[in-house]
Amino acid sequence: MTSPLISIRRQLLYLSLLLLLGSGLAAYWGAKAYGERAARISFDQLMLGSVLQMAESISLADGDIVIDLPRSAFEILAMARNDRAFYGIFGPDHQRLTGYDDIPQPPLDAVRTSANPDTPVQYYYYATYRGERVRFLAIHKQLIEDDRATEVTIIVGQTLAARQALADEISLLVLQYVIAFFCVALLLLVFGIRKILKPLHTLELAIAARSPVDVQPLAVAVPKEIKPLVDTINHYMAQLDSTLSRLDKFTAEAAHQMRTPLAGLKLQAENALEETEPGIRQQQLQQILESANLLANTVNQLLNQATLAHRFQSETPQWLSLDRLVQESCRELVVWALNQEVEIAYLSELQVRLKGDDFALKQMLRNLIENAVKYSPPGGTVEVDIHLDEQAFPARVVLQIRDQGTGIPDEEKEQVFERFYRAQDNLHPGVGIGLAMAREVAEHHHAHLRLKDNEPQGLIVEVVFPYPRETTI
Amino acid sequence: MKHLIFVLTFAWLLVTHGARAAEHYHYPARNGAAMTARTLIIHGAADHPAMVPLFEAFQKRHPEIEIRYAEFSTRALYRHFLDSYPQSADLIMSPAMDLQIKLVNDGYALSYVSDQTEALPDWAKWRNEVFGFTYEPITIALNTQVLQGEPLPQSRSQLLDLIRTFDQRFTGKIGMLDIETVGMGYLTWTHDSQQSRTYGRLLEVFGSQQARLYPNSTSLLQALDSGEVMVAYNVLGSYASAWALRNPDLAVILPTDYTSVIMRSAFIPKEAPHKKEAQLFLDFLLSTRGQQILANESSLNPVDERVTGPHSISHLRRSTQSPLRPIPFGLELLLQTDDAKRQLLLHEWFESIESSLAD
Repeated sequence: MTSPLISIRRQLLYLSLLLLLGSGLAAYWGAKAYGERAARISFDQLMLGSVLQMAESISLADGDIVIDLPRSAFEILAMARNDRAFYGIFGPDHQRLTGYDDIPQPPLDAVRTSANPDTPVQYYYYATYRGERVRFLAIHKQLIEDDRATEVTIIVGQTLAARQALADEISLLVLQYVIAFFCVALLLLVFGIRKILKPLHTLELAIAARSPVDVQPLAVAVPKEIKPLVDTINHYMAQLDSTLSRLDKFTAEAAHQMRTPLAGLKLQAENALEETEPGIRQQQLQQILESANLLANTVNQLLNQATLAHRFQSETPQWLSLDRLVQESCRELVVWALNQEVEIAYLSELQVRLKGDDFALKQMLRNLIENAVKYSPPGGTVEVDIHLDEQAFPARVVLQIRDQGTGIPDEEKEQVFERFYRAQDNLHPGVGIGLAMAREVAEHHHAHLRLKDNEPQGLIVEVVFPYPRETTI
Repeated sequence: MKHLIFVLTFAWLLVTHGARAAEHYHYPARNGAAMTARTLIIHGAADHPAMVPLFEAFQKRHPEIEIRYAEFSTRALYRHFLDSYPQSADLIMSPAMDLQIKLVNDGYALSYVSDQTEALPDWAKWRNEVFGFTYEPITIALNTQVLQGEPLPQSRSQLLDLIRTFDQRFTGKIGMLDIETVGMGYLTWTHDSQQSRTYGRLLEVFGSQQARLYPNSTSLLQALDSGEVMVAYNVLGSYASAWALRNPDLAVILPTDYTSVIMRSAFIPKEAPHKKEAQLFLDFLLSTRGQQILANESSLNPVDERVTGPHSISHLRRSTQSPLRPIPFGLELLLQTDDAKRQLLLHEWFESIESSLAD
């Protein structure tokens, strides 16, 4: 018994949840990045405005650098209500002109931007200053007066509280949308999954509602994805139906086949008991023995049949050598055949490996060869041959067992495969199971068993195997 | 408060620098047990008498806390804080808003949030690190003897017109806080320079009239009282009103063009040795009770709008038509601390004085 897999509903739900969570997280991270970027850009712009105003207020007057910082430059910085701000203005040799003297100078890897030729190159960088992380912006400004020129550096820094607050606000907003989307999607998913799985449930109910002996095909409307399942169930039911009826027939036939010889045996035995004439009695006992042998044979075949049916269901096919199996079977039967004055000739040198059940194949071969020997006239020869039919597409392996007996008329060629079928004029002992069983074995190996007429007379039993993928010639 | 043991120690004049001299006052713990005494060190610029009712009320509630108060001038307070850092007091109180903001911006202040600080309006605090606790109009005080029948000027331009018309009466008779050494003088003067379209005329007239600079409000008002000066420009309304009560000749003008308003503010330094006590005092100072004491018993105007009385904001707003223009309490004040700006303003001032001397 295999342990049940996780329910489809749960799998679907988990998968969708995973997908939702994944996309939600991705959306949130994206929003966070976007929020931070948006906040950074807006506050960088404010800082730039402040720096440009400061730059505007620096001039050269009689060779002296004059700085008259405007109030608006600080008002812009104060828009980030809770942030500290720092500034410094430095002369050409980094000497402080005003502001904080220990403000960090732009590092070499500061981000350089210059939006257009009218604005100076801006250096943006982060640094820890006076116990807090600070965003800095530095620009250089050329001061020109008459023929004098000098350069000043203006640096403005601002702590990150307002940026963080804005970024948080943006991402929080997005998070709210993501959560709302998540809830709605989850709700839809739960309903959707329920609706999609509903036909399965209907199917389950339909099967559960059946009586145990009802093997009629299911008539439930299902989506096309589930249709194969229903088809398989129906196919299985049809098989079950045919198996059941075959079993039914087989049981009846077997009972009949065994009851009749048993009744004969009983009668013969009673006669023998009453017979006083030793000669006749001897003859009667001989008959009893023959009948018993026949019955034993029948029982053997029935048991074999049952064994085969079981093997087909339980054994997995193994790679085996067909030619060796055929040779073994011939060898085992050759002495028995010679007793009946029949020769068995194995004609092939082909080596064939295929996947199958060696026990079953051997049963089939024995049956077929025994039959051939049985129906051969004394002095006849049974030819056993394996050859490759390369004309056919795909190629096939053909096993032939040819005899020179009376053959089977065409109108009976199909009937002989029915269980317990015996031709009217059949004088040989037998129960009529062998061929039926042989055909079952052949079919189990995806092979085709058919009967042909031999020239000038006799029967050819032909088993055509599909060309195995692993063949050595 | 008769049973109050009041030890006034006119102590150690810190002679390191004349301008940095501080006056020290000591209020021992009232529960007597010196072992359990807790200490609170306050450095401030408020006149000591204005603080006394507050200290007494605070000690009534917390008798185990001794208070050490040192009074500085605003700029000296700022310098002293920086020079002695990382040693510091527990609470720094000053009306020089720009210097307070500068210290906070430079990262010296401890953040503190309580019910009391939360109750403060946003414009009266910054970063939850520095908290305004008064709301004081800056006025022009006039010795009415100088009018000789002329109507009392109500605005800066009326005052300037008056001075121009009777320039003889005003020469050397205009007084102001020293903008170079007194933080509040500089703060209010720079605020004028930003606000007023009359700033240019103020500068010109004050220069030509040889305005005199005083090292603190008391000496300026004393000079006004004695007639040494006839106009005291940019004096705290609370102080001026107190003097006007004693001398009927003194008139206090809330200029109708605009009246600047400053806030005294307090912050707890990060290195404060007694942070708990400082927080207790700050909460008390900002509480309705503390604010009411400012209004009733001290001459300071409380910032709490719920407080009533002659010193309250609501009374101030009702009693004057003058537009009140509070100096914004925030990062903008960094400009006032800018060295280059300071040099420019001082330069303008002295140039104005000197050019009139040269005439």
